Amino acid sequence: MGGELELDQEMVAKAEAVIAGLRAAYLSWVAEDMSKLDALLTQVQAAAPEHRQPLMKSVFTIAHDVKGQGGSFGYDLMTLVGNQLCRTVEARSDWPDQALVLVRQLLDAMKVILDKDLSGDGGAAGRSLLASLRQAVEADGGPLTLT
Amino acid sequence: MNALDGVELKVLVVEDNQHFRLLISTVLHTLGITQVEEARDGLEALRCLQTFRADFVIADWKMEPMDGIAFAHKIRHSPDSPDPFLPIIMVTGYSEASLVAEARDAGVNEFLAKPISARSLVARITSVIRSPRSFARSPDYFGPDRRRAQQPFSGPDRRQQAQELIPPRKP
Repeated sequence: MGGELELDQEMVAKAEAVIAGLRAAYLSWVAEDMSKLDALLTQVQAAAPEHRQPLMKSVFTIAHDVKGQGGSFGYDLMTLVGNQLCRTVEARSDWPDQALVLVRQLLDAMKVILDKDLSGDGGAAGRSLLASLRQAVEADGGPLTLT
Repeated sequence: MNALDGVELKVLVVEDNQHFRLLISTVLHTLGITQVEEARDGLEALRCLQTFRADFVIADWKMEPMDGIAFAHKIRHSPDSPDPFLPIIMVTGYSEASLVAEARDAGVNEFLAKPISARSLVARITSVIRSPRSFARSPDYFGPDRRRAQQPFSGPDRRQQAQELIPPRKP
């Protein structure tokens, strides 16, 4: 879907400017999402493995929102890592302690992206972060979406 | 030329994430579209449309209790639909081909994958306003004509025999 109409470039520029203007607000929203994910993961770790799946569904919901917003505001790595977190969570229904290690690594990576303000591709720091995450995902054996 | 010049548009934004609703509504206001209503899911959207005559809808997919696909079905097929021809732009973080096909078959006009860009959003809005599609009715489908272009074809036009084409409506 999506046609090939000529676009009003002034309208596009206005829309781009207003989205850029919401960047500070986005950083506040996503910080809230990181806090929620932290709190959820703490609850997950405290719960018995057989009771973790409903909480992980909540992790997925927040990660899905993070994935869907990051790229709009110039934080492409948040979309990439958020997507990896979504696919990782989606791929399992059982959550032994070992399986949570990768989830924690992905969450920590998103915090690093925000703390170091790694917008766009994040430069050398971003590439290094993705490379270490790829290794972690491959070691975990689950689906790899980070490219 | 501004694609929306001289047209007072009304838009309904249906999205359960309040931040994304804010993003879309803010962009719409910047584009001169100031008559914007918001709903948190398909059910709320249907109630809103009883009194708000939207020119098009921007709807998320996954919402509860009524998601975007169910909403699109209601709009297209329900005898209580406020407007079966209402243009629907579906915006979602799910972009797998099978899901795009499901949205298309539900009668969605345009599909937009999150994260959105300003350009992609403007493109979809421009498309529903400047290039509204004919609607097709067949035994198992009612919605925007799923063919993007009328290509010449030498065989029998089985689609023409089985479906009715309804010209587009301008806002």
